[in-house]
Amino acid sequence: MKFSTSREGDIAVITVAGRLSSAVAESFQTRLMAVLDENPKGVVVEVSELEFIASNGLRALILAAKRGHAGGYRVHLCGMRWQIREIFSVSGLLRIFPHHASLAEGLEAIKSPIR
Amino acid sequence: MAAGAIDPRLAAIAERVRHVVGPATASISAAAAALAAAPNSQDVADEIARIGIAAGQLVEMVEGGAPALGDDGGIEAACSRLRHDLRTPLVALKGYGELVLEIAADEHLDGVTRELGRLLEGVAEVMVAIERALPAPSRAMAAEDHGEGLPPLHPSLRGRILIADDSQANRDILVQYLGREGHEVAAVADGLSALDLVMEQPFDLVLLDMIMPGMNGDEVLKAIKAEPRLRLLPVIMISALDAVDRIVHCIEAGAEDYLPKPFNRVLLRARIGACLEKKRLREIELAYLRAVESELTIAHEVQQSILPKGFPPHRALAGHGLMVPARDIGGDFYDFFVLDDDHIGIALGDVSGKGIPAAVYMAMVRTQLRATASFGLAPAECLARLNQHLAADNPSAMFVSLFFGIVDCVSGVVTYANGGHNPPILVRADGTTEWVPGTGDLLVGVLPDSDYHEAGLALAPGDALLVYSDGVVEAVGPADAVFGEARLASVLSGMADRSPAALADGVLAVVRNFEAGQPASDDLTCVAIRFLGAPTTATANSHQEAP
Repeated sequence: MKFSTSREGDIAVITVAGRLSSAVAESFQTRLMAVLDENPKGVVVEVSELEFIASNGLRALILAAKRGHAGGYRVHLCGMRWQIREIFSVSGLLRIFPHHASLAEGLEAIKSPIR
Repeated sequence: MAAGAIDPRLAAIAERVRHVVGPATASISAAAAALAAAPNSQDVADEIARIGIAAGQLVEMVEGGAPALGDDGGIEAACSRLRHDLRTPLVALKGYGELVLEIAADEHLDGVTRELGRLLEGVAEVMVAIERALPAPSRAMAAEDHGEGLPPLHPSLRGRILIADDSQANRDILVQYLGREGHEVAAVADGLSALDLVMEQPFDLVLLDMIMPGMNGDEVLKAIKAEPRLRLLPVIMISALDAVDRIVHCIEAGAEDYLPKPFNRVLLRARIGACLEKKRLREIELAYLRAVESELTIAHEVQQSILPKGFPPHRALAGHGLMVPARDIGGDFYDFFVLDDDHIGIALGDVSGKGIPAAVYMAMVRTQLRATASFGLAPAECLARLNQHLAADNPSAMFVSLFFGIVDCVSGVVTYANGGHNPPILVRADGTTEWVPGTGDLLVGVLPDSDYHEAGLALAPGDALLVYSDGVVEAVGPADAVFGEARLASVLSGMADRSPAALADGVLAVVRNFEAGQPASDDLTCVAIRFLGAPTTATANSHQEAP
């Protein structure tokens, strides 16, 4: 798994790539939570290079969404491949995470006041 | 060169040794004589006598003319041998000297203490002088000794130590010194006796001299490491530092460490302490691992025992389930409920994560599902209630993907709800397969107040339904290939006429074969059911032969 973060103003941009397997899910969660600790105004997770996500990886994202809910922002997913989209679709999680075709569209959606 | 004639180069070496080492040797000799004359006590008389003997040997060697040129020829070899020979009485002087010094300090034998001070200074001087007269390939052994005033060893670092050394002086010194440190010590003079003793008695550590009559230290080491029962017994090699190659071989062969001669007591103590500490930690670790393994074995049995023993017998419906955790215990489960004469509930769940946390959560989910499902609630209502319970207090965001269906054994209709679980697959009697559409509902336990919906599926007599977990479709084979849904469908289509047990077992076997020996990445669960229909059509399978 590859994990990197950057900032677009108040918005935290996280890029996660490769296989988010059970073995690395805990490290993913720790790094994700560290980003949320900085109190961003929005979170975008760029997943266009993500190949697989284990249930513990989903759990980390759900935790992030819950913290976002409490903090008044949402966790957006951008650029899902079909395999990943399938996992989110089957698990019913697409309704929790706003999702966009690309990072640019995701950032645009957060910045525009009307969704 | 004629036998008996002295090689002029050797004569020159002997002259240099006499010249460089002689004066310091004389001061040792004087100190030893004064020591013998000083008022002493019975406790140290033996050691003082041995000091006198060793001092005599040293003087004899230094004054005793040229070293012989061995069979192996070479001036280098002759020098090395001479260096080794000179070290033998020095080791004895240093060892006995320090031993007596400790006792003398305890008993306030001031004269003895003073003379020993001179003696040990002389020993240090001679060692330096030898290095000057006969430079060693490595100078690392010019070890300083600051052994006095060491704090007592922690009792947990005391152990049973076996010493194998053919030199009486080395044995005496090590036995006395290690005994004073609180270790229990046994000593033998050759390799075979060492091997016999470690075979019949338990030891925590073995010190092996490299060169011994009969069986050398490295051979004893290999024999110890070849014996499964003794493989973990730590061995420290005792060796002169110029035998670096042999030391390296011993460490490669499993020796824990080595001790150079002459012994540096700080080093001796540190290495023995480190060895015993390592052994102690390894034993704690092993005991802990064994305890964990045994608990996991029990947990595995407990977990398997809470899964249903068999499918509820029914004339119109056959079924079978299996769950194989990726580790000892897992987060998958399945369950069957007899709701009334003609309704059987089938549940299959997959909890987030793996191992112990998943297993604990799985047990809770399964209990709550049982409590909810036995009310005879419709599947969607059942999932909604379970979700309320699980989502209410769930700080770590655990969840379960859950398929729950109720089979009407008269009509063959399955009414189901699906909380974020993989779509089951329908295997028609003719081998065609269909994915069972989802209801688009969320994983159970994630959000309170989630809605769950129902859908229906009609089974014709002879049709089978397979519900399964990720462990099937996400199984990974060589070169990261993924098992996938398409493969599952094609495998099942070739098994359409098999019994539910053969279907479930068959899927497991195909997945394991696909993984080709790689460890399973996830728990694997399958439940297969087959609708047999009314008794008259129960043999429906038989009238559709392959064309």
